[in-house]
Amino acid sequence: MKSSKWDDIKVKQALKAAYNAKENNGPEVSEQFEAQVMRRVRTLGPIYFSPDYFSLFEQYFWRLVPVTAALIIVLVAWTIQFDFTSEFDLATIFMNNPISFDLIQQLLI
Amino acid sequence: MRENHSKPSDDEIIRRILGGDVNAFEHLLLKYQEQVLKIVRKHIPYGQVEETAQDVFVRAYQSLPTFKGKSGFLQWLSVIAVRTCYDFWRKRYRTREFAMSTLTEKHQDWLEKIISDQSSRLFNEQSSQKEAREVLNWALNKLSAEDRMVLELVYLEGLSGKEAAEFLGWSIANVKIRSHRSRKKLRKLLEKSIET
Repeated sequence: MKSSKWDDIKVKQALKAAYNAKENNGPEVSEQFEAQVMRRVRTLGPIYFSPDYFSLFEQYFWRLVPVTAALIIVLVAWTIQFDFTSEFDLATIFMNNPISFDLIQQLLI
Repeated sequence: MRENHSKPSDDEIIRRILGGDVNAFEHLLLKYQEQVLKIVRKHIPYGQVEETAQDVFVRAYQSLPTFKGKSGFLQWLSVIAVRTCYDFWRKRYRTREFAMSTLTEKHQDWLEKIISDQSSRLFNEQSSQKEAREVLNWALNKLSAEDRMVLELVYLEGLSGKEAAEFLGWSIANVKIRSHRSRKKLRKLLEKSIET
């Protein structure tokens, strides 16, 4: 039974050196490498850009956010404006109909 | 200087390929062949380097429509290369095509010497490097494909968690946890091998 004190740094250094040497000591590729890759690529045929609808949606969704926000603000403002107008219209109707107007006045008091 | 300007840019080549010009891919192949081979040589046994490098380029060609050009073509291609190596090991581990032998007396001695004071001298010896490579391969073959890749990228190459996560398509937290666990496993394996 062998025993030794474990030294993480030394082992790491040694293994790192061996690992990095792999990159430089490897064999060169054959002369046919490029031809073989191109043959495989040609077998696949031409590829064309086809839009990915989900990513397109994602892309345009965020672009549309400020437009949507602006639209919401305009709609809210318009609704508030519309409400004031309707109250005015309601008052006009009551003014033209004194009985109902009195009733409403009494109810409010 | 003028020659560099006349060379088509990556974006231009990619546009041509996506326009149906298959032969334009050869420009990218010639330009980035060495970088891809460097990555593949580090992760894959020498015997399978050429075939895996071919797979990297074929995969890159098929994935070109998804290239957005955010971080440059080389970075994008490097990610494909690392993931192809990862897939190689996943396939390999599923079929367990490699020998699961134990360390020989020679390798155990090497490991003991490394831990002892003679280590600095031993690093530079050619025979020692061969043994180091064999011990490393033996240990990595005992780990899972995930542990192997994260150990190579973080522990041996010194990449940050973020970089490794980008290469492997994992979350940073996953890389950190895996990295810690795989380091512990490696240490346990090597410790055990010199104890027996």
